[in-house]
Amino acid sequence: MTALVVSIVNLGQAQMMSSTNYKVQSDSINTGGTLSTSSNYRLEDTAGEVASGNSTSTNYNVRAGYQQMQEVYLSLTAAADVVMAPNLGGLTGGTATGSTAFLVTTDSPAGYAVTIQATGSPAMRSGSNSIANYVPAGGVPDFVFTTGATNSHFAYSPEGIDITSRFRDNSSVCGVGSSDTSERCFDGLSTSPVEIVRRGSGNHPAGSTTTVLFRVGIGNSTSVPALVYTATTTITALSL
Amino acid sequence: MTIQKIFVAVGIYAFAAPGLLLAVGDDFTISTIINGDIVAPTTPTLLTAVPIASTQIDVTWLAATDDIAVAGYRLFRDNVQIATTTLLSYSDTGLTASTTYLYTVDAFDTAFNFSSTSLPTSTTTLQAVVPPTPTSTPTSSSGGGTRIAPQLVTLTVTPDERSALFVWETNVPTQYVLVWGRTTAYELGSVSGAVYKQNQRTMIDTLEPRTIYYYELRAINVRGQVTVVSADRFTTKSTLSIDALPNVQGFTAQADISDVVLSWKNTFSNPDYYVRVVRSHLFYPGTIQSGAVVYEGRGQSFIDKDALAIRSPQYYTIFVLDGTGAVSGGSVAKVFRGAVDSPDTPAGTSTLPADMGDDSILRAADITIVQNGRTYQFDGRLTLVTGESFLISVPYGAVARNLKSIIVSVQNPSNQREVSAYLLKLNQAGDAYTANIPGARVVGTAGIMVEVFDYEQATIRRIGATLTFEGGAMDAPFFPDRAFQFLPYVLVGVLGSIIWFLLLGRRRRDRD
Repeated sequence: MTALVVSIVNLGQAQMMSSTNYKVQSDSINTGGTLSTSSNYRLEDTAGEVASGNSTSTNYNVRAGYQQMQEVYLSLTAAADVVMAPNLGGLTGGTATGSTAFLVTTDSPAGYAVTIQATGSPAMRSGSNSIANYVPAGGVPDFVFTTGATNSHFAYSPEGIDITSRFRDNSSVCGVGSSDTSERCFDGLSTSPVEIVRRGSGNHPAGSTTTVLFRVGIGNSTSVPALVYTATTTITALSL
Repeated sequence: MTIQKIFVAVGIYAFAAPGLLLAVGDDFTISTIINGDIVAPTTPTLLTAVPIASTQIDVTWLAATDDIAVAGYRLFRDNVQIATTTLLSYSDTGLTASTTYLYTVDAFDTAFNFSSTSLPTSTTTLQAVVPPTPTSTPTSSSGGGTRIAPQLVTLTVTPDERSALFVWETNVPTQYVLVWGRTTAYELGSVSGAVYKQNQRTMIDTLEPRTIYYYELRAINVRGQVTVVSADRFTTKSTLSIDALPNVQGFTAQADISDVVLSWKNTFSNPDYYVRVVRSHLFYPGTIQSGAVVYEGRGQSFIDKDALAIRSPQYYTIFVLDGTGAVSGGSVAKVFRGAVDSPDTPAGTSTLPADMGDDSILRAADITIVQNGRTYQFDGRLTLVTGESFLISVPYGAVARNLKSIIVSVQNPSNQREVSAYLLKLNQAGDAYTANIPGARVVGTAGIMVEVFDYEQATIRRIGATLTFEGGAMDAPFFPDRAFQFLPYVLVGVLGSIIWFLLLGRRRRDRD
C-alpha cells in the first residue's frame, strides 16, 4: 500500500473525518488502514505508505506522508548583528545608524507576528555605562528621531510590508495612516516584547522581509564615555 | 496549548503539529562605538613675561593646537597654578617688588587632556616707588617704570538705557579709577581697575534712562601718578516709545497778499481725531490755548483771511486732538507779508518754563530718535524706516530752562524745499522734550534740524543731521513734485518738436 500527500494537491479518494475537538482535513491514498471509531474519536489510519518525508524546491515544500500537510511551517532567517556607523565623538556628539533584516515565512493561514525585546534596560550598555532608551514624546513612536543637546538615546524603527500600525505613519505622525516612511517612527527598546510585525495570512513561500533600523543620538552638550556600547536584542516570530 | 521555541543561528524554521502555536526567535547584537578625545593639545610656547610694575608681570604665550579644540590654558607661577584662561595673555598682579618669578603654561582640550608644560620664563618685578602727588603734567622718574604721565589715546563711551560702556586706550599701562554722578561731584559711584594695561574697558550700570551723567576717568601709572585723562558727560538711552498723538505732516503757511493759505496732511485715520490751528503774532503757540484758534476740524487746508493785514509775521501751530484731552506736540509754520522774510523777532511767551536755569548747551549726543523701539543717536547720519513715525527727544536737563522753544524741522525727501517743523514739548514724565514726527512716505535722504530759541527769538543752538529713509511702506515712486520739476523741460521739448515739424513741412512745400 502506498500513500502520498502533497500539500498543494488535494487528492481524491479520501474521507473527511472530524470530531468535537479535531478535524482531519485530508486523507491519504494508501494500501491499507481502516476507519476506527469510539465515543470520542474517529480515526483513520494507514498502512503501507511509501515516499513519505519532507522535500523542498524553490517554490514548494512537500511534506509527504499521512497528515504531514497538517503541520504549520514557520521560518525566520537570522538577523545579522549590527555595527552602527559612524563612530561618534563622546564630546562632539552626533547620530549613528545601523540596521538588520529578517525574513519570516509561514504557511499558517492566520499569518504571523514578530516581537522585539532587549535583554537589559537600558538596552545599550558598556559595563556600568549606558545610553538611555529612546522615549517618544507621546504614546506612539516619534515620527522624527530627536535627541536634545544634553541627552543621548538609542532607538529603533521597523520597516517592511507587515509592520504593525503603531509604526506606520501619515507622513507626519506615527500610529495613524498606512505609510511606511523611511527612517521614521522611532521607539525605544523594552525588556518586554513589543509587537512590530503582524500579518493575517500566510506568506509561503516568498516570505516577508522586515528591516529594523537602529539609531543612537548623542547631543553635543553631553559627555558620553568613549566605549563600545552593545545591546542584545531578541526577535521572536510567532505563527498565528 | 504550548509554545515551541527554537533558537537556531541560521535558517530557523519549525513545524508544529496541528493545534500547536509555533514560535521561533533569534538574538542579535547592536553595537555603537563612541570615540573619545585622547589626544592632548600641543605644548604652548611661553612668549614673554614682562614686568609692568612693582606688583605686576604681564605674561603672553603662543596658542596651542588640538585635534578637536583647545579649551584653555593653565598658567603657573613658581610651579603653582595661578590662572586658567582661554586668552593668550595674563596680567599677574599682587606681586612683590624686586622679586623674580618663574612662569610656565600648559594647554588642555575639551576632554581635559593636558599638554606638557612649556619651557619656563622668569622675570623680576620693578622696584617699589613712592607714589607722587596727583598731577596732570608729565613727570619723569629715575626708578623702574614709565617716565611718562598717562595720557588718553582714545575713549569711547557707549551709553545704554541703564548702563554705559567705557573703552579706552592710554599711552602707557595704567590702572584706572572711574567716578560718576549726576553732577560733577561724581557722587554716584566709582569703579577701579587694578591691572596696568593700555587698553581698558569697564561698564557702569544701575543708571537711569534718559539721564545726563558726568564722569571723570583717572589713570594711574606704575609710579602711582594719578592723571585725570577725561572728564565729560553722557546721556543714557531712552526707553521712550511713540505713544503720543501723531502730528500732521507737511504743514505750510503761504502768504496770498494779506491772506494766509494753510495746508497740511493728516496722518491719522481715527474718526475721533481732528486738528486745531492756532495763530499768534508773538511766537509759535505752544498750547492749544496760547493764540487765536483759526481752524478746527478734519480738513487738510484752510485760508486764514486777512491774517497778515495787521501783523507780520504770523506764527501758526497745528495740533492733533483726540477729543478726550490728548493733544499732539504740534507742527509749526511761519509766514510773512509778501515774499520777504522779516528780520523782526517778536518778544513773546515761552513754551518752556521761564525761570532762569543753568547754562546747559544742547549737544548732538543729547538728542535721540526712537523708531519702532530702536533708539538712534543724533550723530550726523541716521537711517530710518520709511512710512514709520519717530519720536525725537531732548533730555530736560540738556537745555537751559530759560530758553524759549525747541523746534525740529524735517525736509521732505522727495522735495527738499518742502520742510515740516514741529515743536518739542515737555513730556508727561517731565524728563524730556519730545515731538512725534510722521515718517517720510518715500525713500530718500532729507535733512533734519533741531533749533533752540531763546527769549529774543534768536536761534542759540542749531544741530543738523541727515536722515535716510529706507524700506517700509512708501508711496508710489511717481512724485508730483518731481514731475512738475521736469514739466518745463517736457513742454519745451514738445514745443520744439512741433516747430521743427512745421518748419520741415514748410520747406517741403517751398521745394514743391
